[in-house]
Amino acid sequence: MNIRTEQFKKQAALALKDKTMQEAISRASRRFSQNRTKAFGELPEAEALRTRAHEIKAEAIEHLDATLEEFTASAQKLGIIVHRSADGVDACRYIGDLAQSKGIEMVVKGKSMTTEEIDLNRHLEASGIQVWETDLGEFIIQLAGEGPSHIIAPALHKTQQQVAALFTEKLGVPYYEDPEKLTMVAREFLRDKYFQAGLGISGANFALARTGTIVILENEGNARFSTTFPRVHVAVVGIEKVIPGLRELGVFLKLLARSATGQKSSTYVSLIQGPRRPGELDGPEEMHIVLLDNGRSRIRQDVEMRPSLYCLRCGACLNVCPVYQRIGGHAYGWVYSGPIGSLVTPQFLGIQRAKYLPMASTLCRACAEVCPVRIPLPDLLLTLRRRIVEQHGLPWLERKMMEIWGACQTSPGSYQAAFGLARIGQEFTPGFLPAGVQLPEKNFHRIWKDGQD
Amino acid sequence: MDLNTPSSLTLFIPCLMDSLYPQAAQGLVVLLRKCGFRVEYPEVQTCCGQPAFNQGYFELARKLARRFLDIFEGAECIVCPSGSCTAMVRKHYPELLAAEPVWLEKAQTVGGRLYEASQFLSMFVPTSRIKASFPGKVTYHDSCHSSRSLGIYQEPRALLAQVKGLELVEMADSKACCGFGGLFSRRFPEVSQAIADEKVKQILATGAQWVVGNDPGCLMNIQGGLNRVKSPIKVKHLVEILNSRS
Amino acid sequence: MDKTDRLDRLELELKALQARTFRAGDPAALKEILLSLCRDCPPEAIAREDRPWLEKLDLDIPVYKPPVYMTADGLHPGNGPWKPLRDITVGITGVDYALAETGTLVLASGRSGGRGLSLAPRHHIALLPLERILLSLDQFLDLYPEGENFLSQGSAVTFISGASRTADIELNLVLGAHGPKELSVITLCFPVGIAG
Repeated sequence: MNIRTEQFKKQAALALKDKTMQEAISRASRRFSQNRTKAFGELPEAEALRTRAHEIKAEAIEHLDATLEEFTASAQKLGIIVHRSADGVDACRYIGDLAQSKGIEMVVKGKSMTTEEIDLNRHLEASGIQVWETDLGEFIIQLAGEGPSHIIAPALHKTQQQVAALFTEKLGVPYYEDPEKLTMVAREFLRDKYFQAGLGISGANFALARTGTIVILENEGNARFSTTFPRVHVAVVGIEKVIPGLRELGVFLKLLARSATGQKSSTYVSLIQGPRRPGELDGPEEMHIVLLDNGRSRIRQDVEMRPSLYCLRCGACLNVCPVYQRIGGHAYGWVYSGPIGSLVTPQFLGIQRAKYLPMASTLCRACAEVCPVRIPLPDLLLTLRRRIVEQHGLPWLERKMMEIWGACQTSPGSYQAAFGLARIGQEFTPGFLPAGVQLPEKNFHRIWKDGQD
Repeated sequence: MDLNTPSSLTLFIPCLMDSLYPQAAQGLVVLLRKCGFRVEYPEVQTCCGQPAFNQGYFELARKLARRFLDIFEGAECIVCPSGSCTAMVRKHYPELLAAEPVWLEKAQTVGGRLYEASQFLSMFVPTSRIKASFPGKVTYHDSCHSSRSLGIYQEPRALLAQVKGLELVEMADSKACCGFGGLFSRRFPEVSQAIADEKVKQILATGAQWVVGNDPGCLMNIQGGLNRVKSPIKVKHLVEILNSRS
Repeated sequence: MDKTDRLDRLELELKALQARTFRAGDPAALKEILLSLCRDCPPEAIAREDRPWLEKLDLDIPVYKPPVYMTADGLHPGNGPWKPLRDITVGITGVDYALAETGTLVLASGRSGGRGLSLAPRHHIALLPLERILLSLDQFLDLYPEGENFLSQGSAVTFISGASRTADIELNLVLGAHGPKELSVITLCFPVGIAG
């Protein structure tokens, strides 16, 4: 997708004018977060599980090299071909070459933000391969040519009328507004594709080092389809997804669906352990796992920022974020939005390209309250702000004003002088204080002083 | 009074309250004196450094932190009518000064003696002593720092419950951010206002005549939002309510 | 928690997931239930998994396996007649384990012979032996610690909790997004002679 992180301020302002999108995002975030609260309320050991989840991730990522090696060996024992990609270019090339070498003309894809991160679809389409997103939300935004507006529900911003019009235009079907009918349209349309496609591409939520298993959580069944019927399956997995094994997986399975949508469990949890085995009627003949780095080791080495990699991509932080709720996902300009987007985007793309993202937070801490792996999001955003300041990333004028303000705080005389100036200045700078708010004649310093005499 | 109740209190008045709501600061002084405390106010105090800290200007924040600690280090007990400023000193000063052992210790000492106003009143003042009276329908806004950083939720409500004539109605989500975020409101004014507008919607739905909170920044931002929709609802700081007589 | 308690809990959770639940006291009862569930379905559109204990139940339902059934498009020149999986509207499978707490069915591809029959048909009917109902995921993990034991279960072990669903369009819940629209779980309350 086209990266538009530099235009965050403009996009946020535009998003605020889109009342339909705001309504949709607002309603959805509220529903998700209410469901999450209810689901967590019903889980007695919730807090202990969150702490445990944090510890598992912290350890796995601390020992990432060894864990990845173990995973690779285990996966290879299952007959899986494992490829390490340092970056998106390599991953796209590997998958593109694989598809070409097998004469593959059509690909079906399960939902994978990692593949959006590396623009895989565009690469494959450039070599004449047809790529079909099969997750309903992803399918909708693919037809619309848009990016995701939410991490787990990418087409949240679209009304059923908009989807109906889209399907009529792009698929040639009659205009149905009913979501059930629209879903059936997508189901029918994509059904053939699963059987025709030569390659199925998926992501993975977890990769288990001890057994070489990848784990995919979903509700629709499209990932199961994409990883069962095409002859070749490629799973693109961020290296931060590895955890030791099944026991650890159990902790996350208790948390992930509840955090994302409030469900006790996702409808389907697939533990995939290699291509089709003798005696099995279906399953791919060949299975590849692309372990993608794309900046993750660099983030890992930055110990202060390492917890950024613990993210389970559940979207809980988005749902409670007052900023996200007002501006939706597109304003963030890249694949990841909301608090986690503000955190990882500058790290992936470089602070200069996305410096307003860490700024776009009131540091209200609602995200930290709900993160299932206890990523200290506000503290990490603040660390990014500190680095932006240290690298002189902010306009000279702003730095100067902060300097002057700081100087005024260092003595009561200058402090009072500043107050006096501000009182005069407020007449000439409307909008500096909120509507109708005025600085009084005397501040408390003055009142106290007067009272003492 | 119990053994640990301090006799003299030192006031830490947030710069925003000093500039915008001095009458609330004055109200706190009167209230604390009524409760039998001697009240001191170091006039040389300015700002705790939170605006700088929140924008990533850590060096400047450290400078102001050291100045603050010098001013308050001798205090027996410090009371602050703001959740965010209290959290700044208690939680963030030790983080900022972690690499300077002498200052770190000062920060921990001072932080240990610092109380947000509603916390202080809940801990050290029997409710019967406050004897406030404020007829009216009130809704309470929990500032992010108060509720999430300091865990304050029951204290203001318990205090308001004792106010004669006051009816407390809760908004749908009292902990939802008001959109101020310090300089965030200057950097992203439209987003800040949009967040405040959501808060205002909730407030209007309660039918309350007053919005009460313990954070001057929040109160200011909320008042702005209320003014934008020409609502007659006014904000009031918690300590003003507690100091009221009908 | 005894077997019946676990079954009660499982059925509670399944109903919350829009699945239908039945109990069969004996093979005759099972046949009755299947008959009524498949009443509106042409016989050539029903198929069952090729498990030994399903075979023993003598259900008189075609088995899903080559040479008659193929998962792919069914267009293999020269060798017909192939029946594509797409034409199956009712898929009857066994269940390896169920987890009562979350209403989850566990199916291992190595046991069932494949993944497709619980995925592609519009209606998935799952036959669950009573003694295979566990309380929780933790209990399941206790049975299958890591290692060869677990891997022997197949190339895919799938945890199914309810019918396929999506809420991607304005948060309206729709069943049958890609996977089965209907899920019916029949608990077999009589011995079925499963080995292992």
